[in-house]
Amino acid sequence: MIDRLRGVQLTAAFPYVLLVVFALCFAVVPPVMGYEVSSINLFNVGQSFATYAPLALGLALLMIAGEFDLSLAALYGLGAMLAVKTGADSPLTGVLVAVAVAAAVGLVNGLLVTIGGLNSVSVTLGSYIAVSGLLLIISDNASVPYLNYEVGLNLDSVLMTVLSRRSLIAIALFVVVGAVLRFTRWGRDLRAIGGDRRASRVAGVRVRRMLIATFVVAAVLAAVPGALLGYSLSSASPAYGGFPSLVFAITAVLIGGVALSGGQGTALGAAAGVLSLALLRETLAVVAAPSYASDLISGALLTAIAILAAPHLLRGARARRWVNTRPQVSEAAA
Amino acid sequence: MSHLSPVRTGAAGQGDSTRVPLVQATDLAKTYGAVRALRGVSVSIAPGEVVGICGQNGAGKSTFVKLLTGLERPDTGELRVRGEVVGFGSTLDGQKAGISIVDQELALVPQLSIEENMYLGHREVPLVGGKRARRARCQEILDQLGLGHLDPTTPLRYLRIGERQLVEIGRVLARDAQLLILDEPTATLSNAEIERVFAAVREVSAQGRSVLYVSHRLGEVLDLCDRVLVFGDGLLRGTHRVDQLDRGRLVQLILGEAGVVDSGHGVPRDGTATGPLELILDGLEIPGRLQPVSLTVRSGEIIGLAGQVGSGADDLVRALGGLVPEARGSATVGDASPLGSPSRARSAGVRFVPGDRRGEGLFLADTVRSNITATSMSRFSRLGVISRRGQRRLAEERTRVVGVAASKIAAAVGDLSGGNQQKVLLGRSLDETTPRVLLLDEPTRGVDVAGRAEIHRLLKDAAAAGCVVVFASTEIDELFDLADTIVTMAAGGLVGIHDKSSVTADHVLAEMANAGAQEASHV
Amino acid sequence: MSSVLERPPAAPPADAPPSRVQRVVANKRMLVVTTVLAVLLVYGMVTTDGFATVDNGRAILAAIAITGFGALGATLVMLGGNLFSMSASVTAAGAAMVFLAALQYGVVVALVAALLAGAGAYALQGFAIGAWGANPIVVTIGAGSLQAAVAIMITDGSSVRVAPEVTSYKFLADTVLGIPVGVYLLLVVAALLHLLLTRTVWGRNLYFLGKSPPAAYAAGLPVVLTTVIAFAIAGACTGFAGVVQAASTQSATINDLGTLTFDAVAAAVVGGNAIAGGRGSIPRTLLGVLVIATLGDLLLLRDYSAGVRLLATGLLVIVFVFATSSKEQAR
Repeated sequence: MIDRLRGVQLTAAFPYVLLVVFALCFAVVPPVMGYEVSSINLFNVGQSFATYAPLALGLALLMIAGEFDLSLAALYGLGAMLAVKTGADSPLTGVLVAVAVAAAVGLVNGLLVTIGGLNSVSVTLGSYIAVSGLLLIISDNASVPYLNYEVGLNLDSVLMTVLSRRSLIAIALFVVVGAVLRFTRWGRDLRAIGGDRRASRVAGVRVRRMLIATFVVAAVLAAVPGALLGYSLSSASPAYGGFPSLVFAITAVLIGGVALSGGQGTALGAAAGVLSLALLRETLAVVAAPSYASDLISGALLTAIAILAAPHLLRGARARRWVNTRPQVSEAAA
Repeated sequence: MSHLSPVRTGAAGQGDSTRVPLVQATDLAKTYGAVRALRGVSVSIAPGEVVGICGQNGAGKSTFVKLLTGLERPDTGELRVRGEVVGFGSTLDGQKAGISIVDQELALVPQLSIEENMYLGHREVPLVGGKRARRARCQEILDQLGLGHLDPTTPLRYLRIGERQLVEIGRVLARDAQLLILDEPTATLSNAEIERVFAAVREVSAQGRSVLYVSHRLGEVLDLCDRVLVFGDGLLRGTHRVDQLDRGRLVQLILGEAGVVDSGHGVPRDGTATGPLELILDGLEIPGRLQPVSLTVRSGEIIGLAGQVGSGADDLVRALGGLVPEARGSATVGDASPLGSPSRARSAGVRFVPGDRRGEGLFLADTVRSNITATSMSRFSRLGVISRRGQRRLAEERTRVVGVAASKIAAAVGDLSGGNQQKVLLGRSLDETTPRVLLLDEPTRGVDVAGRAEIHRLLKDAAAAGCVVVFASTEIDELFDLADTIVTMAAGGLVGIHDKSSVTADHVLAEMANAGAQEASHV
Repeated sequence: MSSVLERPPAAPPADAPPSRVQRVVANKRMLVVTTVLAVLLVYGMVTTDGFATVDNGRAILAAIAITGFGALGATLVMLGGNLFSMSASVTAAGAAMVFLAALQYGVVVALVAALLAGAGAYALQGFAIGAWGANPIVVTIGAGSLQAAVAIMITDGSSVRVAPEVTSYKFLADTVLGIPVGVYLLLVVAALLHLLLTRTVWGRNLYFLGKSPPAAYAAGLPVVLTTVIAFAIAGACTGFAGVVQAASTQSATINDLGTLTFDAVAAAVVGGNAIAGGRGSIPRTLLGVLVIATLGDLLLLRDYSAGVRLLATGLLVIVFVFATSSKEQAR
């Protein structure tokens, strides 16, 4: 039994090992190269976390369920734009509007994927383009200022030397979602759906309902950090968020131990993944590395993970894609 | 409990001990397209009863079980649970009514823990909490099933296949269902494990809950059940108390009027088993699924692998077709090995006709012409450019050989009957030089009687031309019709090798049902 | 061995060739696309001044070259059942940079170098996807980041320009009969690809692979080689998009062509190619490119913003994904 479990623990530990490695780099590399690291750099890491982590969390939920959503990238920007446009008087209203619109988009995505039985990458490609269009329309293709500067200052003021309200909100979202994932039936069902959809349905899990809800939650988790970023920067532009944020989120989620094949992953792991990448970026920023360095490293990481996770890489590994295991009768193809 | 009065007339179980049958099915019928899978079956199951279901493949057992669990709705007929009419829309409704099933295809999620799997989809699991109680109950069930050494938090993917099967059985125990349906629950289990399952079933029955036990293993049915329902051709052929049955009688009942298969009634062929050695298996195994198999086959010989679900017969055929990359040991066709990948198998002269025609065999939306020539495009192309005339000619030639009407050559293959689809696959395999080895998994599944005879003739012709034919089948008739040599398999291992003329159907059936001799396969 | 929980065996259909109704349904996608295009054209002619003019026709055609090449590439990736490449923009921009940098050695050398660059980048990704079964979306996103980083590293973030005295490439940006040379090139390449797909063993294998990967694998078809070739050709087409762009702008940075990835896939999908693979054709793709270009032109003439165009495109994509999907491996 011990032997059987050793493999799991190694895989499960990977995100945290990686986090330690990146943390060590962050602590060691700049001083060696003659740069100084201070608490403000840690604060910056926290700000990065606040900017990307909820998006990554939403994506993680979907990937655990064996689905994907490209439109999250556009929803992130849409969240910022809606909040800035409608939250001039009350920032909360702005966030609520962003959440409501995002939830509606998520609902449509979820319905199309489950009822229509469509591949989620394909559907959300369409909704990504459509929401990008919506973003351009709402913004009138120009960046919109947010005059209530107080809100941004308030969200970003330093608390306890390294935190801010914005990063605290992100952490709170992680705690809530992580607890649901870890301690409730919903979390178990989500992993079951991603692990084996047919088995889940046969066992009595309400697959469609869970999937639709997950699309909605993921969309909301994309819009909220977008909205807060809009306040924080005191403006929103149609170019915000967009694709680079999603790429960051995908990389973070994958190095955070969420399996591409579904069924596996934790909020804590995803958080570790986001922190790792945030640390990497900050390290590179401190040592004034050229702009491409971050892309180079995260692109290499992403490619490596995709290849390592590929089902055929090791001979004898179970061939998921080519070899017909059994007819899939799932209502939503993963 | 019921506001409806129980049915007073006719039904079985009217005795004083069982006032209201737990489940009463009246005249259930179900048709899939043109196939009348179930043609009016009435069954009544009393509380605490253990009922066995036997019958050949396609007899209607599976359909009956599906209707009971709510996976399918009957076309006509009525289902009552404790006297109340039910109309199930899903398995969840079945669960509510107290019916749970262990399907032969496991419904477990490898990524979840044992406890999570045992309670997956259980409708009484609260949103939050209760985990400690569930773990405790899970541990009890594991103890009961002889898996006490396992921790409920262990991820399922670290369990052996037999252990997983037991966990699935544990799931229905955890559900406190009133009717437990076990569909081939022991296919992958060892004798010791089977004993545990039996003990669990007896305990369930002692608590007044009923069990429906579907199995090809007649010994188990006779050991465990109170009554046996024998299905055939979508009908309930009869209900028998086990104390009035023995094994031989049950085999006869299952085989029906064609009860004793005339072991010589296949078309006799010349020159069987006299050719040179063509296919040599030496310790071919699939870790966890198939124990080492050694076998030599002569050119022109037809080998029938007789085995039920989990016997390893289909695994053996797939491994030889190159579809099981993890296969170990050696297999040689002439000098080449077919193991590893389908293209290696092809270049070794091996052709594989899959059992899942629609999923793994055909390109359903494509024409017969396209399908039948899919693997031999080099024959009508130069420098990679296809000659359409050449393709048409080859397709015409092949459809003629396998007996598919020329008018269908441009039809989508998905629109053809099962028999014609299988002929198209055969036509694809019988390319330029007759293949050295032809592998088939269930050669006539879903094929009607006429098509079946034609396919058998084609296979015999291929063998007469010197081809080795190896097929896996669960059907006794087919094995005796087609094979020269019958190799029986059970629980992932070889049981016996018989010349067809020197073995009886009873004996083959008994060996197929034999879990006894070997330990279950282990990962 | 059929399990209780599987679908029942599908009823054996009658032994009859598909009825006329079935054939019409089978072609419904083509029908839908043509109808959409016709409706757009009629609506445009009736309601919009300046739509039904030769000049406007030229304007629509002029817009299709770059997206068209991208869409050809997307079609090849899609047909083989590999969804789509998320690195199309970067690959095209990279090819544009290679083209401009290599122009000093002559336009032919530059063209070949650019196409090879695109083909090589795609072929590597195709290998990871085809041979190892790596997830196409993630591989192409990662490879896209890598390519962008390498390009910036090499160019130091500045744009690649061509020396003003080099004019050998200018014909690529010319127009003949008022239509850009790029459009003619697109048609030639499309025709060639159409022949490759319909008349060669590789083309047939690609369709088989897209229709049913398990069946293609079990039949022993060369799945890896087929996939790699498809990606290589797709990469060359994508590179061509970059070349056409570079010829008209005469400079290139890695961020040019930023919208190509999604424009290309959208056009291929709206043309009625199944995003799950196996069903589609080059003519459909061209039709899709035309639909999107016409839609864009119409909205522009009617003074709608770029956002409306995107929104409409996105909705069209969803509609077509819906229309072209089928749960089973069927028509």
